[in-house]
Amino acid sequence: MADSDSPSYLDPLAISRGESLGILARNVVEGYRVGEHRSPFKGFAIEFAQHREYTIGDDPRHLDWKVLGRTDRYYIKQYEQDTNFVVHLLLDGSESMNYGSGKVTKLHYAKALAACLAYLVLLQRDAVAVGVFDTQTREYIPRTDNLGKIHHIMNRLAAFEATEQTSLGVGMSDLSRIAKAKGIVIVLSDLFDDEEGFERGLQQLRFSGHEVIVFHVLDPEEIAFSFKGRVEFIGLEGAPTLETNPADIRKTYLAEMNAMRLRMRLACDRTGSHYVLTNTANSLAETLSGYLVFRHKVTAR
Amino acid sequence: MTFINPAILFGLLAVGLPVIIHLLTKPRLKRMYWAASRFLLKSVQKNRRRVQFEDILLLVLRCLLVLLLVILFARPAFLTDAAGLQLGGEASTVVILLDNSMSMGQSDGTQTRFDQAKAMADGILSKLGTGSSGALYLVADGVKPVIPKPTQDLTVLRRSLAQASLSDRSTDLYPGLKQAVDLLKASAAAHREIFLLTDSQESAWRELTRIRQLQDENAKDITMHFVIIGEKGEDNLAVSGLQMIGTVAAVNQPLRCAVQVTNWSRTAVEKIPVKLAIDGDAPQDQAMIDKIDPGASRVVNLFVRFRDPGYHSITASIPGDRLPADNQRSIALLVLEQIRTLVVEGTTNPDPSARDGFFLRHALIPVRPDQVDQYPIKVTLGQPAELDNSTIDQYQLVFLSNVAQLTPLGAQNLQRYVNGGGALIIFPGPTTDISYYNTNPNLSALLPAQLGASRDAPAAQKFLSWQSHDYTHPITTLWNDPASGTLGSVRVSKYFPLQTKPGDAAARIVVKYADGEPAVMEQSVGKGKVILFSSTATTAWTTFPIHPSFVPLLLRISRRAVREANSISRRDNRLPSRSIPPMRARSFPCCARATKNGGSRARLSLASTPPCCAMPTRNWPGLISFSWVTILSPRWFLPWHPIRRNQSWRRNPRRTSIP
Repeated sequence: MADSDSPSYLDPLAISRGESLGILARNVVEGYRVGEHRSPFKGFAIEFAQHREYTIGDDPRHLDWKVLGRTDRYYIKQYEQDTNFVVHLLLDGSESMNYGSGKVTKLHYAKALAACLAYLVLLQRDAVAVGVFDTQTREYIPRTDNLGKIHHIMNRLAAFEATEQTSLGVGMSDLSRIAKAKGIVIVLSDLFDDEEGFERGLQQLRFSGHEVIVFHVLDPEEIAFSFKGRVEFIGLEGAPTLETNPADIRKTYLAEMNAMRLRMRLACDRTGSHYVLTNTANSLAETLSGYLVFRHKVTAR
Repeated sequence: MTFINPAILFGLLAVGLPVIIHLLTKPRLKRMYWAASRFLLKSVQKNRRRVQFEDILLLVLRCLLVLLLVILFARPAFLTDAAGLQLGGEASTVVILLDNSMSMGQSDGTQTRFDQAKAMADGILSKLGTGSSGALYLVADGVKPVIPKPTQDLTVLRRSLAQASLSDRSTDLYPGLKQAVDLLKASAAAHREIFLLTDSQESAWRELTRIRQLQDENAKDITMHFVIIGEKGEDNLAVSGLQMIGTVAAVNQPLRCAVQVTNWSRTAVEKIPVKLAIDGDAPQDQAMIDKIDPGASRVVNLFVRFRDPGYHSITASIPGDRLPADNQRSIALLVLEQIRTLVVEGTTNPDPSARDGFFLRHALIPVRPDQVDQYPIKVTLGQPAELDNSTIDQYQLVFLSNVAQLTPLGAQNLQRYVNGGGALIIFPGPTTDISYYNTNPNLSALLPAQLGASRDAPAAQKFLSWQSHDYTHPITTLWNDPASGTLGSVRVSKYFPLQTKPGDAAARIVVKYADGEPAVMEQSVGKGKVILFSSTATTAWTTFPIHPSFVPLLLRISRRAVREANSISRRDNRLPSRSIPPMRARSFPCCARATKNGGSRARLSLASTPPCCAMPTRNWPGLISFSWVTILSPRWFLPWHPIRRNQSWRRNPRRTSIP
């Protein structure tokens, strides 16, 4: 019954599109199961990868005898070994994620996105782990490759309510300690936090060998700031209340917001992470398929 | 700078509206939770000063907008002076239009506007380049060409300018401008300019549309300069009305006059003494008006008493101010020694109280028997035969009461009497022959209505009543005030219906019956007046003779009839016929003279058939006395008002200009 009561964070359209594309690790990660993901250990398993000249110490079993016969040169055949991977979904559960100009809050959107990603990952028999943090890690669902656990993940996500402030650095740092195996860390956050802490967190994750994808979740009004009339803004996360005419400050606000987005993107670039701006006005399917298409192209190189 | 519509400047109070609206209007405040507060805070901090500045700027701009709109609607006019005119050194042809209307006599304490205008015009002339020529016109509500064609002799022009004098006239600038434009159109000069120096009274721009059109049509060839004189010195108190409202002016009888004083100043004026004098003598009566608000008028009633019969003047005056011309006002009137009245009775009766003229006689002399000799109205009772002799001319009033018919000569005399200025009041009665009245050519021409066959009041009502309200005729308007009683209680049991003559517009209804049928009608015939009642002057058919309104109504009717019949304007062409033998020549110069009270004199030309005087000028408002040069005769005062003083003297506190 609990499963049937769980909120449906799974967007059918998003799932169907994502499923066709699959989750492809941009970088080669190590896995504990043979899957669709390339392993850094190019060995002698299934898929031929390349030739390499024989050096002393190589196992002569891997010599390509055909090449040797034709060219009298010693070449070793190398094979590519697919491996499965673990995706760590790190969801920002701070109070600022509660904002939504429409029916959907950022937190709701991020939860749905996380659920879809988790489902896709589990669907291709990879593992997923989910963590929700604010000033510290509030929820952590250890990694699992059981598709049946998706309802459990969604229930846990649904039960979470954002009330605290953000500390991105702490959340990412906690994850780098918790996650033993290298994998893909997907951060879903509005990034309204200390920028240095965020970059430090990214670095820690990267040092731990994770590939990091940052979904920067923003509400369309936070991007466009198209309010009219006199508005009293009640600050979330303990920010003061401000009464102003948005039209008066729109230009400055947008400049500040764009500058922040640029800084976050640059921080991602510096740490080799991937930055994805996510507008909650876009459908989940659009967001997900957009990113997966991009990722597919990147990994296909 | 001044404004054409200064009243709109009160709209300047609206400048505070944006502030009030800002303070009173609470903007609808939307409340919402917001995540990106840190950017918002930064933005607000960065923009605070700019936003405050913009808000203040917006407020100021809104206030300025209101201010500009108000000023725009008030239509500002910029005053210039001669020093500001850029004439350059080139030869030009100029026409100077100098407003010499009465209002230009307004002084600012040291100099009248007319003097200022002359000084400015002189300044303009001094700036003209070599070879320039100029013309000079004095403009009021007429145009007086002083130098009608441009002359290069500017010395003559200056001298004429210095000798220019004020008139007592109103202003209309269009005719002067039109003449100046026509004059300059004929000129071949390269530079043609018109300088109009005026104090820009409201009446001056009565033809503003045509002036604009004139200006537009000639904008390329002729430059028009409007120089507005006299920004200050608007305070003015004027005697704006003088009216005789008492009984007919008679010797030794008090005459009540209403003097209206108007305050054209911007501030209230207090304690204004008003005096009333006869023939320029010491004031006979005076009153003090405690206060007159700006733009308001007050009326005071003053009394005078005449010692001698003949023509006299009454002058109301107030203390002098900066526009002396309107500080007094005069009227001329004929004072009668006696108002001789003939009451013609249709029947004879030994009982005095049963006579047809009994009630009329007593109503016309409403005093105690011992005062009858002093009372100016003298009543003579007579029979219709009295009308046969020419002594009828000695009466100011003739009543016909229950007269059946007149002799042919009597009818002719009566018609001549009325046409010559006599007053006839007819009360029909049981013996009146209506067919005679309606068909006799002499008598029917006098009647304001035809008499219908006598008619009894409807049986159901037993009597008819006069109208009880809505009196429109000047004689009866008194009874619109319920405190004066009512005419509605006059009962009539029998009457002659007054049938209006078709196409006779001169006849007016004085009183109607309650059902709307005329009860009393009047008509001016020639120089006289005829008033026709529909019922009797006795109690045979009506209660009117014993009604409280009988005496006052009869006196008001008599006063109106006599005043109009004996008014100076109606008597004026009798002057030569009574004083000199009839003349055959078309004119008789040097025999008559008109003298203005200031001492100016003018010869009158006397036209023949009928002999009458012709004034050589129209610029003499005020009292003018006429006298014969060759023979000694009493002076005749005439009020000569070629301009409507109410318009001319009205002080418009703002001036206008061609926008």
